[in-house]
Amino acid sequence: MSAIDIQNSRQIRDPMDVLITLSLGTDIAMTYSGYSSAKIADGVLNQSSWPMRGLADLQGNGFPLDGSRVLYNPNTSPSQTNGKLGVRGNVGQPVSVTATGNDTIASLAISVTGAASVTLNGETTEITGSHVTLQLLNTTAALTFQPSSEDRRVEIITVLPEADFVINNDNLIKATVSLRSDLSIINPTLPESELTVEVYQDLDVSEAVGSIPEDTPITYQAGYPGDMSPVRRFYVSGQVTWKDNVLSIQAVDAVHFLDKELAFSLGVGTTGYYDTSAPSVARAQNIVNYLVKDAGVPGVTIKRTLYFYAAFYNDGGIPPNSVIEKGKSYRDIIAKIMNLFHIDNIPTKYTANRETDLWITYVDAGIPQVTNRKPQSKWTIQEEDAASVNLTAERQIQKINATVTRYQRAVPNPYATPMKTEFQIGTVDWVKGEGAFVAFDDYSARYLFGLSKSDGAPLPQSYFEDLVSMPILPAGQTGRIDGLAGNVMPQDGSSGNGSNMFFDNDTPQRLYDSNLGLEYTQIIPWNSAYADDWRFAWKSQSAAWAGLVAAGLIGKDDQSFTLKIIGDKVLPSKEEVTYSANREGVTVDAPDAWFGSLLFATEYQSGVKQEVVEGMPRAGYESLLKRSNVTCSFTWKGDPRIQPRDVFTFHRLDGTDEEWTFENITITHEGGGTLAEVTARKGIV
Amino acid sequence: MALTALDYITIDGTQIYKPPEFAPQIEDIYSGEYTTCTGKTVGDCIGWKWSDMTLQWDALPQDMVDVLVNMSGEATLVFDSPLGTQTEKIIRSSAVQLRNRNTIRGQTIWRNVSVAIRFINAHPKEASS
Repeated sequence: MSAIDIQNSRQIRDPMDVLITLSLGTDIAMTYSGYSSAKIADGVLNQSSWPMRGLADLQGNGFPLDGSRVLYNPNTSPSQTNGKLGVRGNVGQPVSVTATGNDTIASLAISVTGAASVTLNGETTEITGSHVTLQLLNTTAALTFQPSSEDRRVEIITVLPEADFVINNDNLIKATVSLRSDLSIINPTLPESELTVEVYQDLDVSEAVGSIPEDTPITYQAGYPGDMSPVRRFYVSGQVTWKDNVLSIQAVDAVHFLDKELAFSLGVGTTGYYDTSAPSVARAQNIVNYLVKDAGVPGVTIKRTLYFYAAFYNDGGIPPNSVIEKGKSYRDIIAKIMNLFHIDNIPTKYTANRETDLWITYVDAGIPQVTNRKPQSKWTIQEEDAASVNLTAERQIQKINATVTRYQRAVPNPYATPMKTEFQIGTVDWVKGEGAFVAFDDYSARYLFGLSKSDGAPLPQSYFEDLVSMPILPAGQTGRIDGLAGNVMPQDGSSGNGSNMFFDNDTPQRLYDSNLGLEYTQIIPWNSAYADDWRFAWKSQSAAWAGLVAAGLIGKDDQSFTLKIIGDKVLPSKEEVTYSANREGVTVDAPDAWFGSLLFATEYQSGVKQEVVEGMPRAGYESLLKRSNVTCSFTWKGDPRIQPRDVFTFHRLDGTDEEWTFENITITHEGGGTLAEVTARKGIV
Repeated sequence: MALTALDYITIDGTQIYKPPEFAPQIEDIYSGEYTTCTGKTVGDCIGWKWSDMTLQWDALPQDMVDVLVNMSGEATLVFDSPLGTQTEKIIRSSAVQLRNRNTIRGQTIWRNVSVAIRFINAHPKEASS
């Protein structure tokens, strides 16, 4: 059992250790050596934000059997994801480490657990919590740590130049950590979590704190020696102030990085690839993970490769064609997906889709992650340990009305042989010296362009994928792409012009037009059995060109051509949907949703013949109806390991066990004590 | 019988007779306290302190009374306890009560002297887990 669990099982707990670190940065690089007396070590003592890897360790009270501890594996490399070992001594034995900086270090900030004291240059300093600061004024420090008891091992977490402002029980006046989610049924937001700290600081630092920039990282941990909660990351959100010997800091979690407009539009997309080898992945998962990363949230990486041969466009490299959401913030979109898209259509290549439930968890303060694993109860709370338990039942919802837009995209069928590609959407005469201008509906998807002579004789077909910026013209605007027809020159030295534009081998080539800065890449043989069946994707070298210059096609060749507009099309259809539950209640209007599917078709104009439907997350209004209308709030001892959206077993006074989901947890550390205010919604949300 | 150091307490450096009923008590300090829905008190024991107490003497000479009367704001109390010699910060929390003034062989003695004090030091709790 963990130390936190042991303490929480008592009526009167020991005071919890709180460790809050404001990272102010330093240029001093550290190296570490001389820890051969350690039991295990990776020597990573300079990464304060990497968690210590929880090991199945029998020291002290042993370890919890909740899956949070792993067996020691010397081959696991230290990282943000894997955690680190730091330097861990033998049980009951002292451990040494030598820290060396490349410049004089004024003082060292040390985080360590299981140590009673540290000796530096013959001077021993007692360690009462998990952090100690030592004056140094040298480049090298030889440190020796003594364990706090015979059954504890010293675990050194960080030894860093004191560039960080460390707040612990010695100087903390009050810290309030508000970890928030929104589990309301109809239109929840993605709220920010907050950290507010008041610290006793008797040196006048009013001038120094004035230069602390916004978004300076600040981390929070609490717990007991050897069993601290995971590091929660926050970012300074306002002016750090110092008044009457009290330093006040406010910070918010990474959600605020999502509070900006999408850098691209979310749409029904295309890559030009029909990658049948792509694994079936839950796409709402990808979208959320992608959006979180794309918004620039520090330290967040996408765990899966993005495949978007169907569904929503989320490449980021190429703007989408069919815009679904535009001008909204990452935060709004993620909130919507988190609430509505609880169901994913996992496609199987040729067979019917199967649906799977999606669930949201938090991986750090406020960073959501979509998973298809239903959350299990992680915590148990006894109602008899809670105070002010208030249960509230909102109005029961019987019916939900909404509008769903289905974006159905028809594409050439890659599985057919020969492949049917020509969804001819229209033709435009293209006369030398004149422009051929085509206006498309906003919802149109990728268009491929083929050229044919005006007499109807076909030119070798070239498909210019993703011509979103070229021929899609806002009304009344013109533009041109000179090189397209007459002067496109393969870089391999072969020549070409508008009437002879073809490629004669399967080797990917690269076309470049220096005048326009157009760079053509990824020339892909669509089907090597057909010599004229080519397409190529391109991108612009000039960011200003991409998406900004309205363009038409100016004929430069001697002949006039007919521009055949060939391609995929997205067919949006709106549908009023009503979902109802078999119970009494009110009718509500839920936010409109969108979803889509991809049709591989053999024909377009004579009607879409559906062969394969690839899926994507669909609006799961019925999941909203399943959400409980019962919420509760209560006062509790508090556990800093808990995150919003964690599921807990609520052991009621009448002896029954119920599953609830944490919505908000506000932990207050004040006067050495810890208290939590909790709100929760019944059931697993 | 000669008096020893154990027969005195020291306030702000001046020895005063130890009150005959001098028995300081230790109390725990709680924080994050609340009462559960079943009436149980739950909280964190963050440390301990010496309990507030009233010092009472049957008789005290004028110079020792002066020490009590002159306590203003924070004072230092040194006393022996089962935990060893303790040095604690205290404040006077009542006026010095003086009932009778007697003069014995030219020396002023006050009878039934009492003063309430409050210990202001808090001591951290040693980790017990």
